[in-house]
Amino acid sequence: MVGKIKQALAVAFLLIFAGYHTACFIQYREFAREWRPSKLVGQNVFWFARWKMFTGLSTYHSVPEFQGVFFDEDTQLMSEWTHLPMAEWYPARWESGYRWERPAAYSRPNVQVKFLELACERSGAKAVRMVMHKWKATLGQREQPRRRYSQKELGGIRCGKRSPDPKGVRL
Amino acid sequence: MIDRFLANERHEGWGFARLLWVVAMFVTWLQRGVHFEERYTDAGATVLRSYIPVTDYYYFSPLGGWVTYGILMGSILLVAKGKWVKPMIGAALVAHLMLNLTEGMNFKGYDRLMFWQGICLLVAPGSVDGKATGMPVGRYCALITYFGMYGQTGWEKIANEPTWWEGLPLMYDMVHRNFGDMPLGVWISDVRWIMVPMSWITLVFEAGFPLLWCFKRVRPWLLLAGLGFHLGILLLMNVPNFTAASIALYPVLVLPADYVRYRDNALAWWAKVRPSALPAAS
Repeated sequence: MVGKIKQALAVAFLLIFAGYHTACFIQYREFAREWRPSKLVGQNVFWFARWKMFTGLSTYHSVPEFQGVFFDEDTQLMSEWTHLPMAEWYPARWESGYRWERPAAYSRPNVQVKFLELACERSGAKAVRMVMHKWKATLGQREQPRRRYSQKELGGIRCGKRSPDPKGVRL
Repeated sequence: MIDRFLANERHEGWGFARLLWVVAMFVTWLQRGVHFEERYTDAGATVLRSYIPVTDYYYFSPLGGWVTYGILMGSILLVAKGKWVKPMIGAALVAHLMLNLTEGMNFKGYDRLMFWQGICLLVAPGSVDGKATGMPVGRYCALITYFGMYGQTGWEKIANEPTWWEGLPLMYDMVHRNFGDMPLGVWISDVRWIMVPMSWITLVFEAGFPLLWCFKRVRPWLLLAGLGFHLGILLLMNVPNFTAASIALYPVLVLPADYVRYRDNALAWWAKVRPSALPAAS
């Protein structure tokens, strides 16, 4: 009897495990968008076993840069946009680069603002912004000359105000 | 039929798989100890995002972050030592999840893979040392995980990115300024007669993995191809942690008797070729 109960539990566990992975596998994207089972898991419940590794074609390099403007007390003038060395101030890197290099960091304003605030605090600038540099990748060589170069402003803030801290408990 | 499907087995590969998982977790998290506070605590940017907005529920101060990191690393070491293995795997998985979710942007594919592998280890027999007998639930979970990982990423490439057949995504991945930029990878990135076959092999291996595994005779060759595939990635691309995580549960992807046979053959081969076995030069 105990053996049968153990078997039933094992089968149930395997069905749930396989069911979830299968759901991720066939990517119920539309389904997941509409289904909001709880506030905690949000929209995309089929993300945790979804693997899309190095799938897309990207022929361009994209490098975000932080820039700031400073107030000159002597001349009473604002400076031009100046490069801010965020990589020196916040050097943590993953294989995908610095934390703010993730598209999720600059494509979502509520995420981006946190990095802009870090840049403000560290630099003492009056305003900071993020600029995306983009250029065509060159195959077969490490040197990557800036062919077909373009740049785009990704957003910015006036320094001085700080967005609220996260709502959660600080552990 | 259920009795046969869930017949108890003793799979000696679990002990090796457990150690490979420990290595993958330890190496990954050891690197993240550098600049840890910037990455995972409010000394850096605490962001509200991720698919699960956990910072609505908790986030880490530097002290809280370090304590969680300590629990994670300590648990991993105890798993390696074989002490309180299952509770420690559980503790490591909770800390792993908490840290990755609160960081929000770098919950990597291999982080999720190591999480699922941890679940497999949790349901493996006994103390995950390959000595206990039990139902093969953990082995089935490992198979499901690998079928999902390889199959999904392979079919995504086939279904959504037809340029893979021309080799283009792989060629440009090699010169990616973060994921690529390895000397050998950059050097071959414009050599089409190398890159196009490599792309095809990637597609066949990844998309074909769940199907090819069904043929028992193919399995050892499939897993050997997988080892070659991941070693190739290690050599050509800048994603070392992915390689370590990917092969961690390979030992339990074969049947128990097959594992013992392959292991013994490999050890016998090694005994023949290792330098100390060669006759001393006179």
